[in-house]
Amino acid sequence: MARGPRERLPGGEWRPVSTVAAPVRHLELAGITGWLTTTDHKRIGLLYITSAFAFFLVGGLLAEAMRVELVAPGLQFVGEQGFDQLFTMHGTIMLLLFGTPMAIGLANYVVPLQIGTDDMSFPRLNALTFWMFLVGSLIVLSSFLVQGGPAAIGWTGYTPLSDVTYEPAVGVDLWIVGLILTGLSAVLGAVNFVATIYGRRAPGMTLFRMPIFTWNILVTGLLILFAFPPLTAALAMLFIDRHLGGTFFLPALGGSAVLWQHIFWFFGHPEVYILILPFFGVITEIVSVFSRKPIFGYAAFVLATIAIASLSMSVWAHHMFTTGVVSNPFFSIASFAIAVPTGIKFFNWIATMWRGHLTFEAPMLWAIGFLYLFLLGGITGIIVASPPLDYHVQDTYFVVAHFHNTLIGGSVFAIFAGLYYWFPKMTGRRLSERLGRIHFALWVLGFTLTFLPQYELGLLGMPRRIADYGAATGWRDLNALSTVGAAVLGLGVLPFLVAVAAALRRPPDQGPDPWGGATLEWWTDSPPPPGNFRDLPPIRSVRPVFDARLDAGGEAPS
Amino acid sequence: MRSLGPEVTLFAGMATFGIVVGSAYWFLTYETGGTILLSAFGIASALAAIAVFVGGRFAGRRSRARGATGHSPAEAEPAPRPGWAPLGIALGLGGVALGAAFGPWLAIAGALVAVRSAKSWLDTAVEETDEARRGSRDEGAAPDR
Repeated sequence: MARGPRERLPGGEWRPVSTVAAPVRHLELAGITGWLTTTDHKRIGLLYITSAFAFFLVGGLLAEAMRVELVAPGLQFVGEQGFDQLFTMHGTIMLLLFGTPMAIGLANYVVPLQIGTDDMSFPRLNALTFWMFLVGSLIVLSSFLVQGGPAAIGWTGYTPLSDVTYEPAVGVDLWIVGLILTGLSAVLGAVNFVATIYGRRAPGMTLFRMPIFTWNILVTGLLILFAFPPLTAALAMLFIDRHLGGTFFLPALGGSAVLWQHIFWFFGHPEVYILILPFFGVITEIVSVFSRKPIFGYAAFVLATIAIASLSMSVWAHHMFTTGVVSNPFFSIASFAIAVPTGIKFFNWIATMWRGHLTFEAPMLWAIGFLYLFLLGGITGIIVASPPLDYHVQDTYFVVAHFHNTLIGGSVFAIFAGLYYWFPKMTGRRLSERLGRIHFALWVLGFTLTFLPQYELGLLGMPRRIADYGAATGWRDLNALSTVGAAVLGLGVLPFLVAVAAALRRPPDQGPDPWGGATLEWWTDSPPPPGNFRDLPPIRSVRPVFDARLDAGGEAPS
Repeated sequence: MRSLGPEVTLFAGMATFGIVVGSAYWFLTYETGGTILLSAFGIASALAAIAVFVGGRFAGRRSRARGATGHSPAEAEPAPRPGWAPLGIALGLGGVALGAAFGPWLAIAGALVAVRSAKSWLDTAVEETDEARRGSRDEGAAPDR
């Protein structure tokens, strides 16, 4: 056998190392039935990724429609109610039907491979979580088809606006029950991830030998476990208020509208980190591989991730500074504190690249784009974490620009980085480098054109969630620029779609390790066989494949 | 049996964080909602730490009683076959959810589909476990080569 782990004998000879043979567990059915009945983590991961990407395209189209509405004052493209529905569904789709499931999809595919196991702890439950997510998402989207259209309450669903008095449409009910299903799915998925990472690691893989991506998924799983149940509970309470005579959020009847904000943001702010921590992991993997260096400060990375997750549970009310009923100093200090572990991560990414043999294939380009754009989002986060400044920019386009800077510049750039990086593993084919570069260039340009003007618009006082503005405001040019940027972003997706279609038409031609990776997913074939591994290398460090390559006398990266 | 020390420490750390920050929050703000949320986070993490700790000890005892084989856990587990049950349960729950919005008949139909699929899931799981046990016995009875 040409490849496989070997160890050096005292006499200097090499011999194959006996390894743990993973049993072939999966009997897959052919055709579409195979996909509908699968319990294999790889297929479920691909189902998550394709569904989430389809929802991303839908959410993107809604965003384009909103930008058209705002391109000039006085334009009535979708109207005010339509605009409210668009931004509600855009936010809901992007955060809950795209971002979180995309992280879960990547994790589904990659985590069992990275920890050297054949599947998740509960494969059938894994399939259930996907189908619950899909059914719940389709219920949310089905609200476009009912009388009155979808919910128009913002993705935050603030009460009393979402109460039946102000929003009697059935679209809100579909939004509530659909999100309850997707929330339950996320919690079940998180249980599966935590159990898998705790219980199914290959022999030798201690917690502190796990790849950083897997670490981040573990921490994200824990965050989901603690953040999503409050959302599900709040949605159930809202449904009870709307239809079963409840008064949880009705001040006139003894309830509290601010209680919704507390519970919602107790979910909502950790959700932001649920959307970014997995992708911090993606970027860490990519930066290390394309710098041909081990991760700088592995333990610091892990501890920073845990610190960010913990702090994220104690900052929810920085979204409520202007309500006047929360302790602004407490939440401001806690929010500032998150900058410290995040800064440690940035330092470590840069230190990992420092004096490395950097190459700039598509995954690395997207990773560097992430570093630049997420940094901008982080810096503007310091502004909105400061109550005196936040009072000035609250509910303006400054906030819109800030969170798009973190969620597109952060999460979406990292998602594309991850897709370019792991596509060869998933399909045995590489995406076109040329199209990847065009895609990247269009997105950096489109992103900058779309969102930098929105900071300025926010400072000029343009409120978010308005469908129109007066000609005398002076906001027209910046809005037009932002709309042009959105069009560039929309067009920028096309090279990616073409690259995927073109790659899938070619026969698989990639070996197990096209990038020179160091973690276990690069040990097995591309795509991996049923059961994932025929053998495993000895795991003595965080880079078992690198160690095996070195043991076998292979060329070691610097 | 792998030591679960770091796993317990992770949950215990989260528990400490939730309880300490929850307490500090109360004395700084006297605000009930946030205090309950933070404290519940801390207490839930503490319960998880205890569950992992106790579960780890039980698993350790079971493993010692059987004699350590050195096999990976996957080898002793039944293989999950492909099946329609997960999709069926999800569709059933979708029906229940739609019933909440459109009326009880959808909810009843959905619940029936979900229950039927859940039964199929359990039946298959029991079947797979029995098969795996039979397989283990047969392997145990086979002479050494």
